[in-house]
Amino acid sequence: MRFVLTGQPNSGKSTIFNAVAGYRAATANFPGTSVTYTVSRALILGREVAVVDLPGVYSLTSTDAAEREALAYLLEHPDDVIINVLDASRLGRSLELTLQLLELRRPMVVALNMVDEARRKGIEVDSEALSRELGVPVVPTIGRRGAGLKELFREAMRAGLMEARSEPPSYDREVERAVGEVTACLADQLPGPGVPARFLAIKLLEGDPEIHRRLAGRNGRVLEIAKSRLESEHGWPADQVISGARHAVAHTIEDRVSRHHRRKVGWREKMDRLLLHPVSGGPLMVLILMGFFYAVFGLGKHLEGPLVAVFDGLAANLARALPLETFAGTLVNGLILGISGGVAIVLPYLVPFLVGLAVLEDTGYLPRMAYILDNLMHRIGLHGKSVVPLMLGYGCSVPAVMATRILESPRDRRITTALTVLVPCSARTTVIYAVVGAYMGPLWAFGVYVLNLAVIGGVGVTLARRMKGRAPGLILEIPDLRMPAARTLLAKTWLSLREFIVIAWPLLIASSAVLGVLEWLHADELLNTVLSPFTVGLLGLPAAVGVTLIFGVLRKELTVVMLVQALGTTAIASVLSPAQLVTFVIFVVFYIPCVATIAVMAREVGWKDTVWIGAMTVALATALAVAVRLGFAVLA
Amino acid sequence: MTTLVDVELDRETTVTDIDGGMRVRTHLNTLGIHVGDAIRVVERAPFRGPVLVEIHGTRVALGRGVAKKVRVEADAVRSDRPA
Repeated sequence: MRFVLTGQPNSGKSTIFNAVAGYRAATANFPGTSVTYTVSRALILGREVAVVDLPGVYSLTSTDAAEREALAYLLEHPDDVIINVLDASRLGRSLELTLQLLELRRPMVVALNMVDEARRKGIEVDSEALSRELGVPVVPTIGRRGAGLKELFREAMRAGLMEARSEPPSYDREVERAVGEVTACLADQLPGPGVPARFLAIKLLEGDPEIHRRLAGRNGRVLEIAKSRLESEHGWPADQVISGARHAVAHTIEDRVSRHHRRKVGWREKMDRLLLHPVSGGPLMVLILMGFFYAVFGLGKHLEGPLVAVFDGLAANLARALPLETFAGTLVNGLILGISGGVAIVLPYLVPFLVGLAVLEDTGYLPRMAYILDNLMHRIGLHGKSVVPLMLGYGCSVPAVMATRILESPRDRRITTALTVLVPCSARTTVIYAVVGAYMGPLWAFGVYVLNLAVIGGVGVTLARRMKGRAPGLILEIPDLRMPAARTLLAKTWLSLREFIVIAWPLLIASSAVLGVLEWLHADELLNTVLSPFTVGLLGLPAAVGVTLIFGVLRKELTVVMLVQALGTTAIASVLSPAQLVTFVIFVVFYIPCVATIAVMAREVGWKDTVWIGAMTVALATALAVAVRLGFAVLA
Repeated sequence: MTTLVDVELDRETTVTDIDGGMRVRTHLNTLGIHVGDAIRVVERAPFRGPVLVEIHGTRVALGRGVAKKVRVEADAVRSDRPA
């Protein structure tokens, strides 16, 4: 048996999914966190079942990538039991999706989620009355605390075993007549079993582009007649008539089953006023972000020192036992440096950073940043929504590039993707903190970020001027502020950290060992010599950094770890001058995205864009690094 | 004609018309904004920034360009009520 979780963005599907399937799906307090679906096996009531987490969609009309994905999944898997997650505090709107799901005539259960939030907002929903209105079981749940989930899955399993079928809602007479006519002529040409003709007829009348492409050809005449009559009867375009009819039914149901009390004005509302206020909003945002970066730096610095000392002692002892001149000595030394690079340099900055980013995500501050920065983004030629992928880019470029799917226009997606890979991800943050921050001070590190932002702005303006097809503008839900739960924060940090430990760290250690062997064979010198016109001639760095830049394409953290090894010391500042430190970091921050990012870009925007974006980053990195070098030379 | 760009803050209003192509309309519909719905402008960002509206208990940020397309009418029933 397979359960498919569907619901509108930010209704808490992924939280429910994670509660039953272990922490596998990304969650955050902003719409559109899941852009693709996730499947997991879970043990429910002693039975092994599959649970699918579909991307959050407001409606089943294929107008954006997430909706196309969700609709295609539902049409191709007629045997799944649908678990429709509703946000009890936005019942009317949530029901508009529910009414479309009912049309599918599948086994279905409704999770009336976030009943605690609704109560806080003064909304009581009678779940039994709602169940009578919809004709399917309704279970009140609080996903974040796991309340009601057992009951929810018990009902879902029962619906699946009984092969229950949901009943479609009925609309006003004119709509029903139009739907009936189109349904009748579709009956013999259904795309597959388990897709009711009525569902497709409604989608055709709504002008769903995907369904229209597949089915409109042979039914064009009937469809046009039904549509134009509907338009003349209601005085609106057919898509508006259908969506208006659904809206009316949804709100009638909401009125029947819920009671509204006076909404209490709590700390969240007061804080939100300040955060979004025309005067205080901007300065508060700057303070929040500065506080964030200083906190990460402060914590990292405290953790890094003692850890580095431990590993340096270990390496020194090992060097006495296994001299570096022997093959085994080189190899072991390489391995130790790889391990220590991960533990002592990367983790102290990565862990606080990930926790901080999780806090920004879960409180719901990111969409507020989109609101505050919308104006600024318009100056660039984009709009506020692009802020979400750009901010995620500070965590990792891979989910950030995927998050560009929330943008409606292909042009905005291409530009935002190019800008996203310029944002220093946590790996590059590590490089900035561990090299510039640690040896030259937090102000210098901050300066790197400011320069980075200026460059992103400049590149954005240049690209936006050249590309046509501007999106109409920002349309983004601003979810309520939420107190992040410690459990979710930890789970989320762990999800990203596991990625580092399982994938990146072995790569760090192996690369470190490979570099050790290369050194022993003196092959690194060959590579360094080949690269030296660039590294030494152009950038003014020691030849030894050549190899590190090659390895850095695999993972950006590798550049620091390898730098430590290539230079043969963790005291980088004793070998590199301040000018060289900054030049190196600037080059690493901007040059070619890592392998994983290149792969995901190729999938999301195609190879052509990936190649020019890659080429642009290398050109940009070189130009900026040379400028830094010259700047230092002039000042000296 | 009043739109979300120039209507008074915190005034209860009703959507009378949504301009613009099907894409904008559909997108606004899915976020719960339809003709005939009660809508209230909560905040406007400075320097021609976006507009924050409340609709059916949900807050939605609309860029100026989008907000200009949503025509509204101040609610007669509510504004006639003595304060």
